[in-house]
Amino acid sequence: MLNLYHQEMFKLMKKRSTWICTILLVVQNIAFAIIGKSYPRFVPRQLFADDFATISFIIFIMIAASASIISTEFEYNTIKNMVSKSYSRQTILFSKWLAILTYSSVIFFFITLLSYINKVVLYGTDFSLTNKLPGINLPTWQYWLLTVATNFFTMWLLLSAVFLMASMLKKGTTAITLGIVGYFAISVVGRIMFLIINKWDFIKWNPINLMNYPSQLAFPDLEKLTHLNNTEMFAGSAVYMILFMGLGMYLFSKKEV
Amino acid sequence: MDNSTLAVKHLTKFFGKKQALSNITFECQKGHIVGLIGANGAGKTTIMKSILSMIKSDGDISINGQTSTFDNHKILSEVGSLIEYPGIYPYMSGRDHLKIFTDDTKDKAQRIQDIITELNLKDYIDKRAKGYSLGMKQKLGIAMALVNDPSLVILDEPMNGLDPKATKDLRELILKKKAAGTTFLISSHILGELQKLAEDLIVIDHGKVIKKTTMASLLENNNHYLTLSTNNDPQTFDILKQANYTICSTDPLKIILPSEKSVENIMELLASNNITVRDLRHIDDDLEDSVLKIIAK
Repeated sequence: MLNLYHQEMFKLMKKRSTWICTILLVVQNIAFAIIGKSYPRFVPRQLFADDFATISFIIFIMIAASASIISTEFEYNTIKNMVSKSYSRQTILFSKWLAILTYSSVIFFFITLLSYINKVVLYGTDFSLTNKLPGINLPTWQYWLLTVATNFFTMWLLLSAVFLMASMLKKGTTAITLGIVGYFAISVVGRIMFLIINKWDFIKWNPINLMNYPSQLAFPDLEKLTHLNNTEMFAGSAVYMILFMGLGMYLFSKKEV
Repeated sequence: MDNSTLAVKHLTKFFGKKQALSNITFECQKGHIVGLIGANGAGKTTIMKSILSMIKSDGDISINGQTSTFDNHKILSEVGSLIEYPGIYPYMSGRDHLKIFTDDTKDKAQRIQDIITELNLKDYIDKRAKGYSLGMKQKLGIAMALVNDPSLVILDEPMNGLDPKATKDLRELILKKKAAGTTFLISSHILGELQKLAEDLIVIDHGKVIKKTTMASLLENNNHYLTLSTNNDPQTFDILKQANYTICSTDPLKIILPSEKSVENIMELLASNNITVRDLRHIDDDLEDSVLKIIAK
């Protein structure tokens, strides 16, 4: 198991795209921090609390990485090298989840740290981390860390669906498309979904509604629309994650190559 | 004591309603090279994939005495394989591939270096595999199959894409590993090459084993031919026909040399009829002819 995990990490490190994407995230983060400084109408504190908008880009990269960590094994025919060894298919998939969990954790931590450095270097005493953001009843530092943590959690709800699709199909493009569509689904169907939830309460348990979790933590009034409290959001997301990943595991374990 | 490295019993596989394998049973003895022969679609690759848990199948597969199934195949740690075409990550070098697929032992680096030397990979092993030719990829795939010194090696068309020098290098390496006790199950369309390697043969046709034999006994039953060039071929034809020799062709004059008769008998017969023999050649059926005859039956 550990050996497979090392293999997955080794492969991730050897991919140029891993490094290129990381560099792009750093450039984007610093660029947005500079823009925030130069054009204060962007509300620097809000920008900082959202990791200078880098979280969205991290999510896109993680969707692609999660889909391709499975699909490329089929595209390159390397899946045969893996399943024809002593490892079970479950262990193979689990090692891939762990690799993406490590990758996403490192990137989130690194970008969060970089955002803090940008704040200290570029903004100095322009705003205090202990002050509250306008319209949000939390100190900036608390809102900032909560945003990072809940986005990370919700991203994994999305990634579990991407893993499921990638385990079902041999092509990664469909899984990537689903992940990106899922990411934008809230803004596209949000208003209609809230109307439907108002009419049929059970619809509130759909995974798209659960992706409102980060926003609801910042804006508790959103609960009136989602019909779910924060605990229910967390539990619902966790159940979907287990369901998607369990189903993905089952399908992958039956896969012939 | 059971000396088989691989035992396959009653292996059956359906793809939908189509039966691909039917009650396949055979064994590979320790330290033997076993050739798996059959036409395209006969079921060779399906057998290999079943042994390697790539596909589900019914029947029993035992490797070094341990049962291996689709869901539980720990024993495959003792197996090296290359099926169809090699699986290569284009963004990694050949050495990276060997690093990740070599077991973590104290002599890991040495084993990697040995296989690089044995298969003559050194010129490109540190370059990214994206630029490798088919032959380079094939050699890397074979290196990955052999680097852990497995007790059983399963190779599906290993000579694909290899040049004559690489084919010879691979043949020598396989024979060296066999001498050290490694068991090989090899399928190949290049029967001439298999003839130089395999001791045991399993002939597959339409998903069934139609012949299990040794290379020696298969070739022993082959026809031996003589081609003759004389000062009077038409008269020679008549003489040999009257003497009940089987004539295969007249231009060149080719006869089957029965095992009970010698060349000396023929030379005496022709000399007594004043025929001068200008040229005489022996020709034997090869593995290809033997296999074609078996399949045609």
